[in-house]
Amino acid sequence: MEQKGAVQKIAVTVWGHRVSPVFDSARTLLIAELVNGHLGRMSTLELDPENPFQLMQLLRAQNIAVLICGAVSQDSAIMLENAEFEVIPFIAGDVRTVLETLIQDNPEWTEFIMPGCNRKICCRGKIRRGSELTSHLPEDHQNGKPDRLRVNAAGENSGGSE
Amino acid sequence: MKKKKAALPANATEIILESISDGVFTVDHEWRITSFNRAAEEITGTPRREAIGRFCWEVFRSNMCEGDCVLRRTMKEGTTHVSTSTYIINSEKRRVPISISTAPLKNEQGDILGGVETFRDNTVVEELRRELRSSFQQGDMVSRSPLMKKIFTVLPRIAESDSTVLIEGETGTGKEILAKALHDLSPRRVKPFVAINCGALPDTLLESELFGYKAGAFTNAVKDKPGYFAIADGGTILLDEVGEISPAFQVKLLRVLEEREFQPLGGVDRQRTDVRIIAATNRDLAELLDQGEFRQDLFYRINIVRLQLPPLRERKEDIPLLTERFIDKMNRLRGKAVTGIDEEAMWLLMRHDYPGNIRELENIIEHAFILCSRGKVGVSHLPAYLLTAIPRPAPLREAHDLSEKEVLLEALRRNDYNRLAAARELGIHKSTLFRKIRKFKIALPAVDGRSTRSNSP
Repeated sequence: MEQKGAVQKIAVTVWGHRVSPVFDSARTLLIAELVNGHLGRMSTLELDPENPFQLMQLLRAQNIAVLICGAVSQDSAIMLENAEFEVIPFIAGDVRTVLETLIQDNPEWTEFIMPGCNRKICCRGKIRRGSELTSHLPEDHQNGKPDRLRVNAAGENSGGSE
Repeated sequence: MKKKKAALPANATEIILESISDGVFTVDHEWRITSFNRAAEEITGTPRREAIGRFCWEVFRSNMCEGDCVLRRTMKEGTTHVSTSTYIINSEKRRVPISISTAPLKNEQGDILGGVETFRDNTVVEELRRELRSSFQQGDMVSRSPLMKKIFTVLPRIAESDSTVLIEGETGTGKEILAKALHDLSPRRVKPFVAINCGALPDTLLESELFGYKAGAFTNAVKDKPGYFAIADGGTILLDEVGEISPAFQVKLLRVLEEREFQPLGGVDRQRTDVRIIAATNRDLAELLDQGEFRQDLFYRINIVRLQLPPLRERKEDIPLLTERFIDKMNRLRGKAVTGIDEEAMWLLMRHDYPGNIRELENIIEHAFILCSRGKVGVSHLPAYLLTAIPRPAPLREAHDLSEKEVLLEALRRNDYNRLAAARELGIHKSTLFRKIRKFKIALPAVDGRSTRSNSP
């Protein structure tokens, strides 16, 4: 995480106690507060999978720092990037464990990356406009770190794996 | 010389599974994948070594996993399910349209060991279907109606022209979708499209939404806020319900249209705007003009190109097409497996007048989806008001049988009940005629045109 010491909000699309397998059809959003680098209060909100704009508004209104989700389609990925959210996609597993991993200094993601995604573009986040995040983060991603997609105000990629 | 029969290798099943183009995987009771064939690897983009032992939803990634999993139903009920359409997200973020069939996996004793799922990549089928549909599709609109086809024909040229367009049509006819199609076909397509309902906002709010405001313009205006005209710069703005705008605001809007400039609330300088304006209304603007409720100069300014969307009751031939489209949409969004609509339910839909137009039809299908998860939408899934408004006729099958019986009787009468002659006249085989006579329980006289018959043996 970038700003330890401050309160940040992490959103995860969930299915019961797991990360929802498909972002595009997720029905529940869990919002976890991160206070001074520790997990704080958690709450859930219902989502309407038919209305992706509702989710965008919700993420913005809640001032979400990072979104963790399962498989995400290209269209949804573009929408999230255009809205300038930092996204950790193609994650599977128990939500609590995922969140606890996220707050570690050097998180090890191997066990959470969805099968078939650890050597392909889906987790490295091949970004539009000709550039790839791989130029920023290939080595540690291949060592089990998923990609974080972030687009700055100028519309250029600025994110990468920590 | 004896031919030697080639023995199947011991791993024949494995070889067959590897050579077919349908993806196949099996799961145990814990939902962990126990086998995964070559086609499954290709369609999902996941190598077998990574898939085996993982939860099926982590590998398969279908929109149905979370809601209405077909494999779960199969394992629960012990029944097979054939050909449910859905999509998966492969490892390259692509939505792959697929059809799924599931069956319980049993051992020789009949014990359920898990489930087997086969799936087929329907990408090519979907592309062909889309191509076929494109002949009566424009943007998000579909129609077979001649009235709509006229609009579809002129739409690309209107879109190119950059003129202001007035769209008229009853509520729910798809004015916003038409405006979006105009934008998407225009050179402005890469720039924003924004829509605002002018009827829903009072003047001051409408002004701040459209033109924006400067910090300090009013209480709580702590920083500048751009309006829709600024946000949509280079793109298109839809002013919906333009007939509801007050006379005072009509003047301000006219000025923007004429001078291509606007002034944010609390601002001093005027700002240039390069926005194409599309106006839409469900009111008769000419009538409002006569009543003095709409300014003549504004009317002429927006009425450069006028498109009139017909109500659904005037394009009923589109109801089956739109119904199919809404069913596809709902299946996708809700993760359901509804396959269509039965004849009687469709008859009811065709008989309705749709004061709410396409939106009402969509709501009816949405209502049906609450009660129907798979198979065909039937009459019992439709809202009650559709049933009470119309006197119920005999179902289509009954109507068909009744008319068929009449035709048979007429032919028999004309031929003095000579079955062979009647069958010849009807162009069917005599045995078919006998079968139908039995089916419809047609009483035959003792005497026919060919022979004499006694009722008693």
